[in-house]
Amino acid sequence: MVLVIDDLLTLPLSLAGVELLPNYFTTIFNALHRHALDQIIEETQNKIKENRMEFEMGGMDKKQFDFRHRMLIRYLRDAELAKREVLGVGTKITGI
Amino acid sequence: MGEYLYCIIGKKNPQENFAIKGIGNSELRCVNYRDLTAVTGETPLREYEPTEEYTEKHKEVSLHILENHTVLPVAFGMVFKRKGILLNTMRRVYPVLKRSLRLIDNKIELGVKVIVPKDKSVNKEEVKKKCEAAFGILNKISVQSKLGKLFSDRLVSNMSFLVDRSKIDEFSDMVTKLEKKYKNLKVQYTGPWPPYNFVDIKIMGRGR
Repeated sequence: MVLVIDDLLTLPLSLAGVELLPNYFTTIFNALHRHALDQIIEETQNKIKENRMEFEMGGMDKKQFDFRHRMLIRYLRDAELAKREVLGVGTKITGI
Repeated sequence: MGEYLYCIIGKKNPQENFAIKGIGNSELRCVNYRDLTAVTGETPLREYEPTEEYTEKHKEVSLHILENHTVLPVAFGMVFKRKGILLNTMRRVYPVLKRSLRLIDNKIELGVKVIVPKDKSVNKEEVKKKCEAAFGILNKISVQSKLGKLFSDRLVSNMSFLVDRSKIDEFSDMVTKLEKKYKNLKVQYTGPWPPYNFVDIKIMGRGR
């Protein structure tokens, strides 16, 4: 069963000055999302360094190195872009 | 067009024609402020992605300058809108630049990594202890050392050393001895580099 919670449902709703849903709910999920992306970014940066180290040690040829390097850089860009976007976009949670 | 900054050297008016070109095949030129010189190249004013082509060119220029000068390395991708802004920046951080250049005067960075070969399994803790003893010897030859990140599972040790140019041969001989001593491991010895790990000057600001 998939439960989808749209960020609209997690935004603080106030009626006549009374908060119906607390804002910290969104904040926690955004923080978790950011943390996960930070980990992906760090791991990808490590893989980029490891890839170069392997190449310099003769563990792969230039073609393999270039291919893997380009792939990792693209992956890193996507993760950094996702992190920038998560700062401005609400949270969708699925799969609970 | 903007001024792409490669590095800073502690010499006024080096008066030399650099034998290589910069990013985008640009001529390298010197921007002087007091007794410092920024090595730059005129490039399109934009954000430079750290692609292999650009980062290699940045590295190539820094290494070329390092052959004859003490180099204060600058992070990749620093482009100034105008020469005037670069000069203003150098004026603002002049004391920091001078202090850093004093620290690294006539020195270069050498890197030593100890790696477990792919087809081998070793007791990493035991190897680490042996490395610490070996690096103790290298520490005596160098001015400073820094522990680097272990970015790979196969990496047992990752050290950067700030070494006086006069001690490079002595340092290299010691590394060769270590390679012979620890034959079941791979030792990756790199350099000389500009002292990236021993200088940490951040020049921030979008307006540059």
